[in-house]
Amino acid sequence: MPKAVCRRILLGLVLGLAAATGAAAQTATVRGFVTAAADREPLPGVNVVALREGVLLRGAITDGDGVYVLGGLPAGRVVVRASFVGFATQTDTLDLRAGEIRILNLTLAGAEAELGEIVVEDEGEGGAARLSGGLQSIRPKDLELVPVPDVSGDLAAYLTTLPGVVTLGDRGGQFFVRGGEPSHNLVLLDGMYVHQPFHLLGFYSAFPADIIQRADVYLGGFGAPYSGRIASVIDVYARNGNKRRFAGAASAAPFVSTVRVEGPLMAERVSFLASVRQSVIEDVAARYVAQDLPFRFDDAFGKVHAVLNANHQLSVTALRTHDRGRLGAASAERLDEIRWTNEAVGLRYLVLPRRVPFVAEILLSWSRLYAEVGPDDAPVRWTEFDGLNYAVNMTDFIGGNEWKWGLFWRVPEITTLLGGLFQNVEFGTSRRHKAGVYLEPDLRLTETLRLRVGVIAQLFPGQENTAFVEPRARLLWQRGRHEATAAAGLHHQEVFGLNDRRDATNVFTAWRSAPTDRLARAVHVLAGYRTAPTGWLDLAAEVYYKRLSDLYVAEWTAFPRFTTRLQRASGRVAGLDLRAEVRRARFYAALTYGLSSVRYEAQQEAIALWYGTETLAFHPPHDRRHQLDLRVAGAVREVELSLRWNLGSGRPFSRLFGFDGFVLMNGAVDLFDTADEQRVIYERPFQARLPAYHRLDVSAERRFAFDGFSLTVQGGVINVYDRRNLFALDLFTLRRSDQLPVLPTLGLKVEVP
Amino acid sequence: MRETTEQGYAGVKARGEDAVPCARTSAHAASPSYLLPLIPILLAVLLLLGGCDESVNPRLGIDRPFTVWGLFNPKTDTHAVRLFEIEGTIREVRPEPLDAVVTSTRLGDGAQRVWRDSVVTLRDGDVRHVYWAAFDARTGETYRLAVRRSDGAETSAEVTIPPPVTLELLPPDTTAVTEILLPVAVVGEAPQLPRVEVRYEVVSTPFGGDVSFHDVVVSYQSRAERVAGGWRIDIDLRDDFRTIFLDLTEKEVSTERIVLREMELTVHVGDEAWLSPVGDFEADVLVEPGVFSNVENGFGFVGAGFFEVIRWSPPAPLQDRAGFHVER
Repeated sequence: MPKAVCRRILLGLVLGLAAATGAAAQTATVRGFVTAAADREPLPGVNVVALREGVLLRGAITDGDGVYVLGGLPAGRVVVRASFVGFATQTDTLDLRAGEIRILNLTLAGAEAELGEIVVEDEGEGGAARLSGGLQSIRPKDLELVPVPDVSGDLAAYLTTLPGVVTLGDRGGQFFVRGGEPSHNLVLLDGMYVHQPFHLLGFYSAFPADIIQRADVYLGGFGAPYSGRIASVIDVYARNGNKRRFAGAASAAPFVSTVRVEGPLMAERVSFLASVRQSVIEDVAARYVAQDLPFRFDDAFGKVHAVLNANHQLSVTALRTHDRGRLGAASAERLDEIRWTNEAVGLRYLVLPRRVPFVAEILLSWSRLYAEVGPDDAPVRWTEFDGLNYAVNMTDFIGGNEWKWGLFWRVPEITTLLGGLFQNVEFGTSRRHKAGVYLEPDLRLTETLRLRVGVIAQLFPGQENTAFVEPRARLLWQRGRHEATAAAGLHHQEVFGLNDRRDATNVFTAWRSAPTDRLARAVHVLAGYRTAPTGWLDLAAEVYYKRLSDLYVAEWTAFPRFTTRLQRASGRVAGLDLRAEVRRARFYAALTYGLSSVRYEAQQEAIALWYGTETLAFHPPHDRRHQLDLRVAGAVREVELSLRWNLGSGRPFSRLFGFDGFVLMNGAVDLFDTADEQRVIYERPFQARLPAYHRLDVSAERRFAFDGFSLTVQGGVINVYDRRNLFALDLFTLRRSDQLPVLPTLGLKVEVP
Repeated sequence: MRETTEQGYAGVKARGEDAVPCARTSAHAASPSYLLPLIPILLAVLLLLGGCDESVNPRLGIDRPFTVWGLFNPKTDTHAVRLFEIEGTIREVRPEPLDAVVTSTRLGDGAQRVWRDSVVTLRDGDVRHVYWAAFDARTGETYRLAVRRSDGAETSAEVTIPPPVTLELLPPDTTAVTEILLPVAVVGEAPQLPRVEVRYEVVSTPFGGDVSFHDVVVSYQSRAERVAGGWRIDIDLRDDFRTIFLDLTEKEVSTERIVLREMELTVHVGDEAWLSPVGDFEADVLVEPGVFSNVENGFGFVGAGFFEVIRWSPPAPLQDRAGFHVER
């Protein structure tokens, strides 16, 4: 987009913001933090309303930090009431002056829910069927409903239950969201970038349930505060730790062992939370599974959170993960062993200024990913992706509307040595500055209709194309138990991950900076509807369509080698999500279905010669057409039972006719002496589909309370009916690698609450 | 060039694949309305039944028996083809005799020869089956090479022997400021020139440094021009000097003084079919089975051709103008 147009759009939005700010001076604003009395953790999703003589003036929902803002209040006496399921309602009466900005922090104590409360619907509430315009908010209690071989849940296991999220198997740590590549997902932890957060074994990630306060997963159509990735956003907020007393837990299971500690460093004001996990698969699980499980991973998380005063909060978060493993056939040389390490540290400063009606978030973080393949002492290829990220995110409340705007500056530095993986891309290093600004007002058009329209300007100083403008829009209609949403947006990605998807066992992702005239691009369009016909049933449906361009995929070749060249591709993704969720006091069930079609069009030079068409259209290996996921949980006496059955239709793969040899006849060669190469006679790429995947996992858990601590015993079975789900098939040797067989697990967890 | 289809290679069909389209269901077989509620259940059952299959077979099989790469060379008395069985599994070629009989038939008079198998060991230690026959391949004659398996499956190709050519140096063209052209005539009716290259023997002689000898090959593929009575190749000495300079620089060889000792032009002459569909003979493109092939019921290429070589040293003033070091 021309720079002049870009400037005009931004100027218009800024002037609009300034005008609206002036109007706000005639009214009062009340805002603050809402925390739980027990541990001073922030409470997201709390209904906070302002009433005058029983009439609702304004309503708000606390965000991930427990922040609420009631703007546009008329001067005079108002009653502020905060209510949340499981907590006692708190009420406060205030006398407000015109133009006043009042800080009112609220602390809720645990209690039974009250009926008949005035409720403001929250877009980001948890629940399997609470999908709102591509956004699903996930709470720790949601994670506990998915059986995993561990006493605690994990975000990775939960993500596999979402329709539209495809994995290549129970190992590899690769998540494809609505047709995008894993490198197209933006993963944030307290605002820090985490480039490869999912462990080699698909149940686990850097985000165990014990450290998560909530995760907002945008499956598409995400708003202006998020940029730089084209498929999805997984925005994880970590807990702050208990500010009142020390607590902790230790667990042991056949796959991982975990220790978590938290507590006050300064009572009521400063807390810490630390968690360490170490896999024990090679030592424990592999002993009773008749399968080689060469996976080792660990992660360590730490956070210190400080309440500086009534309106300032500061936190420092650090994360380190490490994975090491082999997905292919065993070899003494360990040529295919992959190792990767994530490191991230970030500072987050949250302030509610007393004199201006903003909520300001200042982020400063550094993150690094280093991944390599090959022997320890001589890796054949490696990639390093690190960088600083500065961001200022502002939320203003003007006349009942929420205006988000912000600035960011990122300096990603990427160095990659591909070791011949892609012949036309070998080595690269880049350090590119990127700055940007966004503005996104959330306009309440009527009582039932809200429009969030945003724009991002991304600037790449010193590059050929220096500016990109991305419009985003989201329309939300709510009436009673019905909600309809629509969203659309344009997204660019300036760094891309190179993978060779011809080989499922090769999960190495090499990062590169894209030329600024060829940024990967996606256009998202989606529309959804959800309803709650009864208090215990939620239903949701969403359709989506994405247009992708300037992707890079491995070139097709008949040489039976794992090195090839890169080619450009475009694509389209279309799909439908259907969700139903039942929530009763002692019973839970969720049924989801995903229908999806992913099609790429490759633009390899030789395609016209090989196939007689200008482009090669194919369904890539992550095109899983049907997904069905059923989760049932309930309590029988003191035992909590959970069950999960999921089914995925077969993914595309390429068949072959046979093998022969190839001699380059580029002249009168000596056939007694000239070298040749083996060759594969393939069918046209990705014409066939692998067998369907399905598996049943069950678990039973009982908690025993003792004086001062509790003991949780969890038993379960993964893959109850021992389905031979294919992970990878070597087309040349027909050697097949299956996913986990039937696997009983037993875990123990000791917790000091 | 082969035809392409939705399924893949022209004529390549999986063993046992049914060529008859699926039978149409009768338009009159209307479903009674009371069966409509059963449709979702039937779909679910079908989905579950489909999900029961755990096996996967990526091998389609193929009816074509052999891949043949061969050369009829009228300048030698021995002709050879390298033979591969098209197999269902990837494995090293074994030295045991193949189930193949290779014959050639001169179509003009029906004279037939049976070729002999020889197991050769390549430089990397792999073995290959190279069939050969000794006879004079006559210019203008067409030969049919056939490779027959004991079950009767046969792979074949036909080639026509090209006429001989001679190489003649033409007067240099030094009129252009930016080029120094050394024209060479390929005299004779050569149907195709699949490979043309110039090898430069150069010496790096830096002041006070070590003298080193290097060969740099410059391809003139697709740069020969058809003219009356044959072909013309314009060798651009100045442009090639730049290529040599960059090549030596990349090899970290001193480019202070580059002396040209000799240049050698090699011209490969091929029959009419010896033409790459993309101009150059790029392995990554031509490796796709069937893309560059004249073989029936199999893959590969059997050509007729030979090569001619001419060596010379251009005049010193031209070398000097091109950038080479010349002793004065």
